[in-house]
Amino acid sequence: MCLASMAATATAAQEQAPVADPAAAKAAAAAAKAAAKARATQLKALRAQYGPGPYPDEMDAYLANRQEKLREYYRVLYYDGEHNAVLNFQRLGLLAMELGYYSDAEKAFDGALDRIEAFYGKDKQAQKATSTTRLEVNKDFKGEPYERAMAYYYRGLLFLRKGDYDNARASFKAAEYQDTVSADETYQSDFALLTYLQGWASHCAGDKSQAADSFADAARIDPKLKTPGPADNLLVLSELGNGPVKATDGQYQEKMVFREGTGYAENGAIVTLGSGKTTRAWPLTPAANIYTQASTRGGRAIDGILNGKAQFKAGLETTSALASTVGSSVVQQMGGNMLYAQGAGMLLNAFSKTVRPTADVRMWDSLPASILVGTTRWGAGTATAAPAKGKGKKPAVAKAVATAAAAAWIVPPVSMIYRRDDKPLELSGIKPMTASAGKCGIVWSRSRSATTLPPSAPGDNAKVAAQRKLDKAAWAKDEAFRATLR
Amino acid sequence: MLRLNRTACVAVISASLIISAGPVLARKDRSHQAVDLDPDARGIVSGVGIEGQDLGRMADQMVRDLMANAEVSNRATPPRIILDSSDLRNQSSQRIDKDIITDELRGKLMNAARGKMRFVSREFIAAVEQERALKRGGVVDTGTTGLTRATAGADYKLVGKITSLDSRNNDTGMQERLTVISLEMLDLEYGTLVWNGTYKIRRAGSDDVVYR
Repeated sequence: MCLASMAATATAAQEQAPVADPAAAKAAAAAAKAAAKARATQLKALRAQYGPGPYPDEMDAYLANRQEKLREYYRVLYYDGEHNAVLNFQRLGLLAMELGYYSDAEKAFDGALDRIEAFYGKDKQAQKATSTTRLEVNKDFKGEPYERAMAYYYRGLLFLRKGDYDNARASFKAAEYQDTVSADETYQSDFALLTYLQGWASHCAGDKSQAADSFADAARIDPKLKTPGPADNLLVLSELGNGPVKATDGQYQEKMVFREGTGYAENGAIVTLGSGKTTRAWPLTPAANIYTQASTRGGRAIDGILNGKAQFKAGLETTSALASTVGSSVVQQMGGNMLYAQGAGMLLNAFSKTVRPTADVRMWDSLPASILVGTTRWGAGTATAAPAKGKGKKPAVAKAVATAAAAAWIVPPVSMIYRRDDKPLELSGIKPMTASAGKCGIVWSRSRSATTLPPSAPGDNAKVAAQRKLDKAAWAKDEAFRATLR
Repeated sequence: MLRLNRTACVAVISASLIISAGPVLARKDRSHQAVDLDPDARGIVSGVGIEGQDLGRMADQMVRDLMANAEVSNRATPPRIILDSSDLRNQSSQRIDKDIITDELRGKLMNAARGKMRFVSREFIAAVEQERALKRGGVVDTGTTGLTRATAGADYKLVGKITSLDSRNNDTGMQERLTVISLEMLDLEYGTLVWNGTYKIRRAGSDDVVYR
């Protein structure tokens, strides 16, 4: 029996007992004591089986109210704690968005962004990551700039979905800011789609001059991105393929490198809106390549530390080899005991094995390879652009009718044809997200579903995760994180 | 007798140790519990954006400014003001629930104004209209303040913008943001601005080297 049900039993017993009845009060107290004792025994058994936790009953209670299709992702989020919180929130948010659980998606992306925005100064886990004998994966995940930017991008889309254009613009601005960390100035603020989306949010909010500035900036970065028509009110985004993959390189895997995602053929999409006579179809414009964004960032500050660790390890190994071979013969020639030199060599070799320069390759694996964009005017756009002049109606009334029509418009049926060059592919993609909460509508789709991926993110280190459970400070941090989730 | 004294002595020392260790243990255990923080002081988690402590300071400054403006705060007939977030634009790079700013400001301004200003709510106009319909339909009585021909029209509306300027030094990892909250009191009849208040927050910080 879990704690919750035992506590409920005890509470029920207390509630049923009249205050004036001492015998019943005594029985209730005894029941509560027995429940506490039973829980203590249970905890002891669970601790022996699962270590410090979290335990299955606690997990089940947490998962009980979650959407079934998201449960395994929530389980991982709860279990991993603060260590992978940003990554797990990002993956959960995108899955929830794809499946139409928008409230879950909003909370998940907010959870990730709150952590991305906070400064982790003098963080013990971060200090561990720089230690010679610890792996970089010890640090809490915050992601690379392209991963952070994409979290803001998706949050911005969710704001657009709700018609909150101010916060959508803020999200796209913050996303673009993440792109300013590139070492090479050529690649700073080169994520044209984010600038374009700032323009779109301003366009929908009615800030014409800001919209014009942003669209002009976007076109300057990427001439393919044309300024939308003044009456355009529907944004269409389609994400293609599988995103960049993080890998390690170098003698000791001390370098983090990016590889292009594989396993997909699509490089274009045609969107079809409406049905019958009102059907409209057009090819979407390529607006972002996520691999380019990931790989043009330049060196990270941590790379210098990992490189230093690798050089130290290489030095130890060389010295160890020298001590074992050359040192032994020299000592032998000088009439000494070569075992001393061999022993020193073995010691240095053992020490070199404790130096861990391997780069952290935890990654947001559900990201797309590229993003296409398009805009059009649909339904309410006509009403907004040219209010109907009904006979006998006063201008104010006509305007009110037009406003009501604008508020009531709905996005038409949408379908996507994914293709490679000009050849259509047998690929259905996800069911598109469509919404028209405010003046503008949005259609968002993906050729590849996040549902095919496992609930746990790739790149984590099971040993580090297990050690973290034994670290009191880290454990307290994870427990505090779980408390915020419950 | 000696044994009894020794036992008492041990008991007293043990009790003292337990009492003195109590706060230490409590301090250790505190990491698992939620803590109450002063809403006007800097929090545990911080970045370069608008934070909880800024809201109170911003509202205090704006209220002082506004109360010093005779055109608004010293009229024979208290002016009617709409103070909500509907015309407060967020042009910054920070996601923010704008209501948190206007709610804080309205609360402090209502306390400070003491009847020198009247605040008109449009956010809950539907509730007002519903009650008015019930009263006029005879479903409920007229209440204690009687009936009016219409709901209150407003003289002024608080409008404004939140803007920001971000910068970063890629060599040091230092990030900086200037956030400007600019509020204005718009005369809803003439379209003139009768008051303007600006609150600036300039904040910088850098993340640990492993996150740069």
